[in-house]
Amino acid sequence: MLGEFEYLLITAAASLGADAYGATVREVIAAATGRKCSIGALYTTIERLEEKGVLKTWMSEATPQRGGRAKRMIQVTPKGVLAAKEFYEAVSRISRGAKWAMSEVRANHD
Amino acid sequence: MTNVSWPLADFAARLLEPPEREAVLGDLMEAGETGWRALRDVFGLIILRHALIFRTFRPWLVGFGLALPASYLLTWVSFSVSSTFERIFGLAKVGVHWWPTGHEGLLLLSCHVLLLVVWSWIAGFLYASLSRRSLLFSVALCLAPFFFYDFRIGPLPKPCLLLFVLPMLLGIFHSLQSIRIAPASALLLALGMTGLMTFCWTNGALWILNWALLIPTWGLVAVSAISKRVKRDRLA
Repeated sequence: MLGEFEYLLITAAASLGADAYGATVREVIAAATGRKCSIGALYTTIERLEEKGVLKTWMSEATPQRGGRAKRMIQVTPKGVLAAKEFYEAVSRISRGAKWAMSEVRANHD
Repeated sequence: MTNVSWPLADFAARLLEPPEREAVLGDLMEAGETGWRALRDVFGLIILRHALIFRTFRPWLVGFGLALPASYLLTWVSFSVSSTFERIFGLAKVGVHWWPTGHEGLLLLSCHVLLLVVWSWIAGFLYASLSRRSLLFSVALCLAPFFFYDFRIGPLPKPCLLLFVLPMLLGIFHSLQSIRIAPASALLLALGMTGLMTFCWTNGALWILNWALLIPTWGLVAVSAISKRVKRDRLA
C-alpha cells in the first residue's frame, strides 16, 4: 500500500492534470498540509513511485520564469490511480467511527 | 555584498544528475526561494540520495565482501613486492621481513608485479561496475587496512603498502568511462592470471591467501557476460 506522502504526491499530481510538475505539486502539497514540502523528499518519492510504475515523468522544455531550466512533468498512471483509490478507501474505512471524522460528518450535515 | 548563495546552490547541484539538476533548480527558482534556502534544499536532496543507496545490500556486499578483503590482500602483496625489490636490488635494510614470500628472483618478482597490477585493476573495475553510487565508500574501505591495521613492515616506508592504489584507480576510471570488457577477453584474462598464479605458486612465490584474488578475477568474467546479455536483451 502507498505511504502517506506518496498518496499526497499522487493526488496532487492527479488534481493538477497536465500542469503537474515538481514546483506545482510542491505548492499543492504545501497548501494541503500547511507545511513546506522538502525538495529532497519530493524528488526521491517521485523516483520511487516511477520505479513502482505508479507515475510517469519526462522533461519538458525550459521556460524563462525558471531561469531557462526544464520542468520534470508528472503523470499518474492507471496503476497509480488504483493505488491512490485503495489508499483513500482504506483511510475512509478505518476512519469510520473515529471522533474527528464523525464530528466532520456532523458539521457537514448541519 | 554580492549574493553568492544561488551560484553556490548551482555549484552544489552539480552533484545531481543533469536532468534532475535542471528540474530542481528550476523548481526552486519558480517558487521564489532564497539562494540559501535553495542551497539547503539541494544539499538535503544530495544527502538523501546517498543515504538511500545504503538501504540496499549491494554497497555493503561490494564494500565488505569485495573491497575490504581484496585491499587487505593487495596491501600484503604490495609489501611483498616492495620487500623483494629491496632485497634483489640490494637496498634492503637489516631487519626487513621477507614474509609472506620474498624468496623469488627477478623473473618471479616481475610476475608478482604483473599480478599486483592486474589484480588491482580488476578490483577497481569491479567496485565501479557493481556499485557505482557507493564508489567512495568502497574506496574508503580499500584504504582502511592501511590506516587501521598494524602491518609489521619493519623499516620499509609505509606508503609502499599502497602500490595497488594506482592500478585500482585506473580500473575505476576505465569502468566509469563505460569501457566494457568482452566476455571472451575477460575469460582470457582470467585464464592468464590463473596460469601465472599457478606458476608463481609452484615456485614458492605466492601466499596461499592470494588465491582468493581469483574470485574478483573470475567475477569479472561473470560481470562481462551478464553485461553483454543485458545489452542484448535491451536491443531485442
